[in-house]
Amino acid sequence: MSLRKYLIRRLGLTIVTLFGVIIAVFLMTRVLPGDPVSVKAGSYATPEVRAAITKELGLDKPLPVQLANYIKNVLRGDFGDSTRSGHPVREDLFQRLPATFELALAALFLGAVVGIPLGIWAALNRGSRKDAVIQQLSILSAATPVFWFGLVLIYLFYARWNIAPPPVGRLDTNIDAPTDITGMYTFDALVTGNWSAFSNAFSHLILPTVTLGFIVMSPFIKMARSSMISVLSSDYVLAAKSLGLSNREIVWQDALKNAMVSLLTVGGIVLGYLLAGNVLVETIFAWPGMGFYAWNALTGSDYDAIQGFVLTVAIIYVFLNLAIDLAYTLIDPRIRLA
Amino acid sequence: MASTIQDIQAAQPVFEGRLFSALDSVDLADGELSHRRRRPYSAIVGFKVLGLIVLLAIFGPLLTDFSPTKPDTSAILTGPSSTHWMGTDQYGRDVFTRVVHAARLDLRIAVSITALSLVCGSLVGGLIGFYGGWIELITMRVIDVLVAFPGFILALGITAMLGNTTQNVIIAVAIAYFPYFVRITRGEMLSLREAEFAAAATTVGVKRLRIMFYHLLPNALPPALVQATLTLGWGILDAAGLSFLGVGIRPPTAEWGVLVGDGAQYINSGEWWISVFPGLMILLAVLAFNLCGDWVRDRLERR
Repeated sequence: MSLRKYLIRRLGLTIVTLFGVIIAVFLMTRVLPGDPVSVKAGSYATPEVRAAITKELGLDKPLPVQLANYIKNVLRGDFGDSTRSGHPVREDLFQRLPATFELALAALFLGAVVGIPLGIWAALNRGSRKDAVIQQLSILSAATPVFWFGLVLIYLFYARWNIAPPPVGRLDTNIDAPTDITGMYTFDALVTGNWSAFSNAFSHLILPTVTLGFIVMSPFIKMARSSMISVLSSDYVLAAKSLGLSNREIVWQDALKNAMVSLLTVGGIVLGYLLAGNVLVETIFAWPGMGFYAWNALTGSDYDAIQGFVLTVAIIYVFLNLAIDLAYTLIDPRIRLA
Repeated sequence: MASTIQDIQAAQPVFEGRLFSALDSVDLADGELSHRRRRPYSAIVGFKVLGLIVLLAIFGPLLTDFSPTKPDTSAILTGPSSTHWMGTDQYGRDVFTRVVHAARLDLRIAVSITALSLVCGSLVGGLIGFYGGWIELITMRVIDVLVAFPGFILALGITAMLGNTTQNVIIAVAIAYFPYFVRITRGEMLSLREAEFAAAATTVGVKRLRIMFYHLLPNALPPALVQATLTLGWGILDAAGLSFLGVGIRPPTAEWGVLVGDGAQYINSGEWWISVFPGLMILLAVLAFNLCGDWVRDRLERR
């Protein structure tokens, strides 16, 4: 089918999916065993007060009407208010997005920068001892529980060897945050030449990044290795070799480009995992991102915040997948012309 | 001709959404080199470790005299010793005892989650793949919505909604894995229903539903079984992760994730054994499942 038809269909699918997501999130919290009225009213409220609150929260209307209202609100950007902070959930989440993003990007970078070369190296030395060790490392990292690994790192590098800073937040309390450009402290500090803030923010970023990066390295290793193997046994590489190109030239010029498609897939999947699975790592390191916010909301019965978080993550994920599919069409002409 | 990326992906489980599913079922392309049979060392290790863990789960509680839940104020926060092999926690409970009791629960959880999502997912996938039509269309859109959430977050939301019990955790995580089985089985069924032996059966007069269940579905299962070997390991990771957060199984129930959570606050003060040992068990169990799964997958894909 033509590119345009594909794009229209894909976008249509995205919109349908988004609506489905909104409905799913609505159902998720309307079926909650908890009672948001009691949470807001407290234990000593009179029936009149409870009735008023029920009306205020719109819970006295029939379910389809509640759903319609919810959809209307979401489309306006109103995800409700947090019962803990008092602020609109959207504001709370938006404020914390840069922190989560910074961690996600850093972990993605680390995983790719370590994993891809290891995978390529394993492929180039296929069948050897080095290959086996790298594969075992990849298997090991995929089986490691991320929350446990974070605790182990904290124990070793902070509690025992005193190398890392206290695992609380993004900066020491005596350091001011750098000028706000993107909200990502390391980037902002670097760009404004604020070395003290940069080194401090960086030192706080290391441990959570390594925690996530170690786990995330595994798919990069596997995919890089397998792509490289299949590419290296392909005809055009054989041709290049017979024409006299060196191994290094082949890897850089031909093989790598074709491995890009699979690496893009992995990168996208991993980013989705990082944006969501951060709940665990952020909680351990008290990293003030969306994940930590969600955890606090869960333990504090802040239903609007929980709902808003789940919805936000899903929306990001949907658009991420859309972007990946579109990138696919750019990279791989076969999909466009399929 | 596939009309969307999802359809292309459904036919090749390689690029499924979950973080590791694609990568674990990617052919590591070692087939060409192994003209001679190599001893499957990893698989042997995997099966041995798994066997050990199962034995520990079954007989472990007999090895210790301590109770997994009764506190003992005389032995609070003691390190690993000859009496307490894995030390004690803040209530004086023996960590080793809790770990082996948790082994039972975690293994049961892994198997339950896998069984639930495999059976439900394959059935639905097989049925809609076979019959097609608008029911397939609607189901696939619902699947799209389920897959739009990162798996862990979906399980998180569902558990928060249903309540913190073991059963709900199993249901929630199974729902998160359900879409993969549906897509895989449907993909297989799409090609299988065109197969010659299916046509032959119809000619002879076999009823359609019977064809689907007895002829086609068993042949559609191998890729789903490959996926199942993966969900065994993931199930433990996800259930433990939820429990660690306090959203899944709750203390004082002994579950590995709960145990890691119990010890989290003591990491900074140096009492590492409360969290480290249970987490190590999670790692070993998932590793064992994955290694065995790799072997099963090799065997299934070589057919």
